[in-house]
Amino acid sequence: MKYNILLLPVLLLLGGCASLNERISQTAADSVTAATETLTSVKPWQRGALAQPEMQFGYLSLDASIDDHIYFSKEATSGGRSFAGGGCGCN
Amino acid sequence: MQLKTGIQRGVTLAVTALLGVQAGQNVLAEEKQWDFDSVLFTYMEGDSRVSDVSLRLEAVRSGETEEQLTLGLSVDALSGASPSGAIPTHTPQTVTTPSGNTNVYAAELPLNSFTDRRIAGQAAYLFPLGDQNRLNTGFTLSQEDDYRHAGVNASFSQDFFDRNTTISAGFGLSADSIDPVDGIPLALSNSDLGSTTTSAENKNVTDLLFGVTQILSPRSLVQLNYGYSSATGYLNDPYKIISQVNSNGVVQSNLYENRPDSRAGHNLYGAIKFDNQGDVTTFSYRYHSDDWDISSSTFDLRHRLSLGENGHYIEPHLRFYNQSAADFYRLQLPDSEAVPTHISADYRLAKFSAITLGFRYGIKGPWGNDWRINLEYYQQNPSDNTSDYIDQAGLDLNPGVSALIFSIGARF
Repeated sequence: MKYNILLLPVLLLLGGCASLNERISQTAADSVTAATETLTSVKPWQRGALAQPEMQFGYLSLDASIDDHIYFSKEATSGGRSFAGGGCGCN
Repeated sequence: MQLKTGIQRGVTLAVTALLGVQAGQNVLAEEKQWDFDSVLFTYMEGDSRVSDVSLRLEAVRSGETEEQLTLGLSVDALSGASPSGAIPTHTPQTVTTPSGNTNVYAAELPLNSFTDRRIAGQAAYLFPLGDQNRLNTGFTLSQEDDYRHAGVNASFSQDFFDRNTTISAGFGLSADSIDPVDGIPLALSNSDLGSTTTSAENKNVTDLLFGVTQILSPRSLVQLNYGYSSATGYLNDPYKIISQVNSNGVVQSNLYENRPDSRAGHNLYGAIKFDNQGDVTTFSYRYHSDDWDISSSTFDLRHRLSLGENGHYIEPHLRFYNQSAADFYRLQLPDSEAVPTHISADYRLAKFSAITLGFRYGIKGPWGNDWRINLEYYQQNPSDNTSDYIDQAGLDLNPGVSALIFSIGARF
């Protein structure tokens, strides 16, 4: 159940919220189910969930670009997700 | 919603005017859809080091086809101080900054004070070439007091298998100019003497990016990217120095750093998203390796938890980062040792791990807009921050960085 392990930090972050914990446990189980569904062609009419903005990899791209810029300034490695949004002589 | 349309018309005219676009009214006449995003954020490092206040704006025009125009603008005001690279010692030492000022430090980390402004703009245009493929082109520009950047990029993407699979390939080119106020320092020279060479240097970067996105199920999809990056030219930080110390660890002199004039690296990136009845989990991992002998791993986990029909959500965020040191990184240099061709004490090239803990709260506004606030804490933990030298006993030679990031964002 490796996805439960991945979700453990989230559980810890939300520790103390009993109703949320219960819901997240259900979420973890759903994640495992989703990941193990057969890899078959998904028809357009089955993509209601996938069409939601938060299911796009570019969702909240402005926030992601801010994160990228901060880490570009403070760490030796960057990139991976997309092209850089602009260089800097970061301090 | 009529109110949203009214807000969009107003913001459309304001933002297009701000961005220098003349097509605001035409766009509305053609019934194109404009969407706007904006973020105001503050970045504050501990120990009164770097602080940044920034405003980011993004406008996206889209229509019934896949055609899409994206315009972006960001403005930053930076101030504070960052480590110069000089080593802290118990014996008071005088460190000369690049601008010629001298500061005396005793048992504390020598810092470079600065103020800077940054303005950056970008534009991207997505062209649908056919039903299953498209071309995305863009350019980026940025200007700081001592740094300029210009870049172009283009990528092609093709759908397969009833759009269950998308592959993409692209490239990016950038040309940067480094122009410190007091000139480019002579590499490996004594910083107290203030020798400079040319007034400006250049850096060029080429990026290649190949990716595949695969729908796994009606509720999950995965993305895999490979990226190659090659930088050539002036890759030094003109403000960083490294200390030469005697057998007791007392600083004898400080030298300007010198890095190789090229760097090539590889990124492998994977991300996966799951939908769980409206809650979305996103996990990503990146592995980096380059010819400076730096390798890194980055794990990132977000979980967006919907709090009901009214659009409220919370999103905890956890990121873990770990990198090895550049092969020319040294904390300091014994004066008995010959000065190597390439050497740097920049803490960003050291071996360290870092953790980010974040939390986002989002809410839908009454007129179709949505708002979000985000709070994150970032902490670096360097591996190499002590020495056996008597004059450095008990001192933290590389304290790393801790920072608090707060942002508020709104989409219309």
